[in-house]
Amino acid sequence: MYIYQALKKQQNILFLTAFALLLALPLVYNYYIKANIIALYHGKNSGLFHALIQLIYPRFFVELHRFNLGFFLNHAAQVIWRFELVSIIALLAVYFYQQSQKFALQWHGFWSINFSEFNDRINHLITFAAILYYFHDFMESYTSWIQYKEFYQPILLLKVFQIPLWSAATVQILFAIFIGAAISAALYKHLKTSTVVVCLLFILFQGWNYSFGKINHGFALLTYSSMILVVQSYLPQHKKGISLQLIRVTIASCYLMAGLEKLLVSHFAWISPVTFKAYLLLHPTTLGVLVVKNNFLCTLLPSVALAIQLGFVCVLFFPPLKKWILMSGILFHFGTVALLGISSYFHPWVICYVFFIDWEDLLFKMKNKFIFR
Amino acid sequence: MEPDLLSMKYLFVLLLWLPFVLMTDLFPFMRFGMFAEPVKTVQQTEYFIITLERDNTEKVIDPNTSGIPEQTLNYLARNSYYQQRADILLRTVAQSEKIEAKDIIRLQVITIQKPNSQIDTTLICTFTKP
Repeated sequence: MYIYQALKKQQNILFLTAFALLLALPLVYNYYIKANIIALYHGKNSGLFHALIQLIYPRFFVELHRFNLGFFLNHAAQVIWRFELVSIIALLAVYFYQQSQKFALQWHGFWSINFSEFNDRINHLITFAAILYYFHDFMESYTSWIQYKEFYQPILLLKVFQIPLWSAATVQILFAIFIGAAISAALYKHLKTSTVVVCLLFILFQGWNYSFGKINHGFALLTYSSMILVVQSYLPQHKKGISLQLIRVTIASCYLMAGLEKLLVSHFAWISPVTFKAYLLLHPTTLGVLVVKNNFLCTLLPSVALAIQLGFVCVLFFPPLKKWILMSGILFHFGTVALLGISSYFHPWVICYVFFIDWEDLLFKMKNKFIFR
Repeated sequence: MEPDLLSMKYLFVLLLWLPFVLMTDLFPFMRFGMFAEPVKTVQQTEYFIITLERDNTEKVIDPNTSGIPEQTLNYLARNSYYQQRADILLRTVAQSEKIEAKDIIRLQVITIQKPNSQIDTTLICTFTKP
């Protein structure tokens, strides 16, 4: 009893300390970070802070030609508030987990889902076949890496691991290894080795590609899924459900983050026809040019897109809505292609919806429908 | 060896949300800030194009000719303009085998002026392949 009380007291002290630090953070921003941003914006080298920005936000040094000082100060203030918001939610979750048995049971129930090997095999087949398909992008563009090497600015990950741009011959050998490993992973063979190789090379090739400035968020979900599938390959079957649920949480989080970004950065500007029209004109497509003339559609379409992004997370908590949410997600991506010309109809994010499908159940229902009709 | 998935899932979720908090990509973890910025300034409504003139016909250079994906080239064009390296970029583009001698390559910026959506084009730099 004494030990329990002592632990409880220690936990309370930890929570209070964490909350005190969170309260102090805005003061640090006001008296240290803000002044350094102003100095950096005016080209005054501020040592450690300069190095830190160079490391985590290298685009600052290009973006400062595009935006005024207010933009960067808003940006920094947002980072502080976002940190506070995420930390408070995390602390509250930990607090309720420790204080409420009901919450703890619900939490464990959320992560404990049934998952058969058959479903796992189908998910592997579709995911790694898709990664193999999209990999042709890198195979086509790697010759340009050599031609444009003067503009090569390695991203943080490549800098940390000191990975230079390798020669064409080495890259071609890696292509061959990648193709072999992806086929093996898709066929559910040598999973531990094949998933690790595919995941690492997929990240490496994207890293090289993004070191020329343009980051493609289209592959994010496939990258995350492949990372989780690496860990999953080391787990026994009865624990694989946790990793499947983690992939689902990841997918839902990405949509939620995309929606929250729009709300937090520009409040409701995204659903104003002025903003949407500007984006349509910046990414002109045949359909987009027609839509730009209609004020009603230029309000309705971005509003629906925002609702889909923010509401996608419901797929985790309301199974009956799953079918409708996934279908609206597919329509959302079709819309971005048709209106803004972003990515393709065979969208990598949509491929990741396979992780929400119970293939055994689907086959059972199809059999019942078509055979025993 | 079985990994401690309980701790790893929390670490993964933490890393997943880190770019959202820091508002920057930390590849392989990414920030999803596409289309989040309101269009306020001229700089946000501008985009850069590289054109190729051959036999008095000028058209936007395609990825097959430049040897680089279109979106990556657009980024390089913008970055090189702001870093005053536009001439180096055009010389690099001209190295492509698909570009012939006497071909003229131009870097131009297109700006959309609100509220009448008028489109202005400004020439930034020109390079003729020797």
